[in-house]
Amino acid sequence: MIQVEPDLAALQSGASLPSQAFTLDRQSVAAYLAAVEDTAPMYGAHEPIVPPLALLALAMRGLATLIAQHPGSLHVSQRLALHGPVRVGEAVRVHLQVRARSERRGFAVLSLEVRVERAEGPPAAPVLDGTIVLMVPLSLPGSSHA
Amino acid sequence: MHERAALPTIGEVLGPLSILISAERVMAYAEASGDHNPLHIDPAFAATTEFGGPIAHGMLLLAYLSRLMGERFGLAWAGSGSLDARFRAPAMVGAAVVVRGMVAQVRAVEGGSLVECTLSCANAAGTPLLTATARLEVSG
Repeated sequence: MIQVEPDLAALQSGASLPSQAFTLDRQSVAAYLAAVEDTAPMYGAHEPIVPPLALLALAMRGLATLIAQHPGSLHVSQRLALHGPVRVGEAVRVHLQVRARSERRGFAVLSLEVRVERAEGPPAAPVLDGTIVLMVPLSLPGSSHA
Repeated sequence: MHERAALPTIGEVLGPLSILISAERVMAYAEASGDHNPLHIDPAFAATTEFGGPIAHGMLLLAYLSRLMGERFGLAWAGSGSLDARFRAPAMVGAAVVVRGMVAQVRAVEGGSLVECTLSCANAAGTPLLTATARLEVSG
């Protein structure tokens, strides 16, 4: 869980969220597959592959925790690129950095770069990278600020 | 081992998937993803927003696009795909959506083909909620 910077809307360009490592365990991937009703055989094989959007969603769990502090946040656009299959049981590390920030109509518009790499071994090429654009309300719930 | 998908052709249709964005589906996604933004799961809160009610997670709609691609292209999608998506309008909880795609380009490269697909998720009235371009490399 990301705890260092609680106010997502205040993050400035260049700010990084603490990297997080986690294992893509069978239970989490199975729950994801059930939720999105994806039954493609490669996800249920003997050595199952992690669905690309499951990899991204699980990598964004820390970010989702910050987003939840700003109810009304919106996902504007999403880019992602995969650089090789990731198997269930592998450990990965996710890095998130604010690449651009602007303000519009009471929202902070954040462009976040996401990079997921295997956690084992030396730093390597990512298995997934991409860009997430979010609109985050500038005022927190209960705040009198616009 | 995975089966190799048949080579795609320009104009090939992907889907459609017709899905009711039920509150149960949205809650299941919130639990699985850890995204408990009340805009998606709290009708009382969502009623105070510009949308007037809860909307689906954008990532849930993206997952449906990925379903289409995974069903058609298998491991080639999961291992080499890319997606460039833009959300156009919210998918209201309780609404039906249709997810579809089409092979837009196939270009031969050494050892295979680069494939580009256009994808969309629309509501029952045909209003686009999400549009995307997906690219991947297929062998053979």
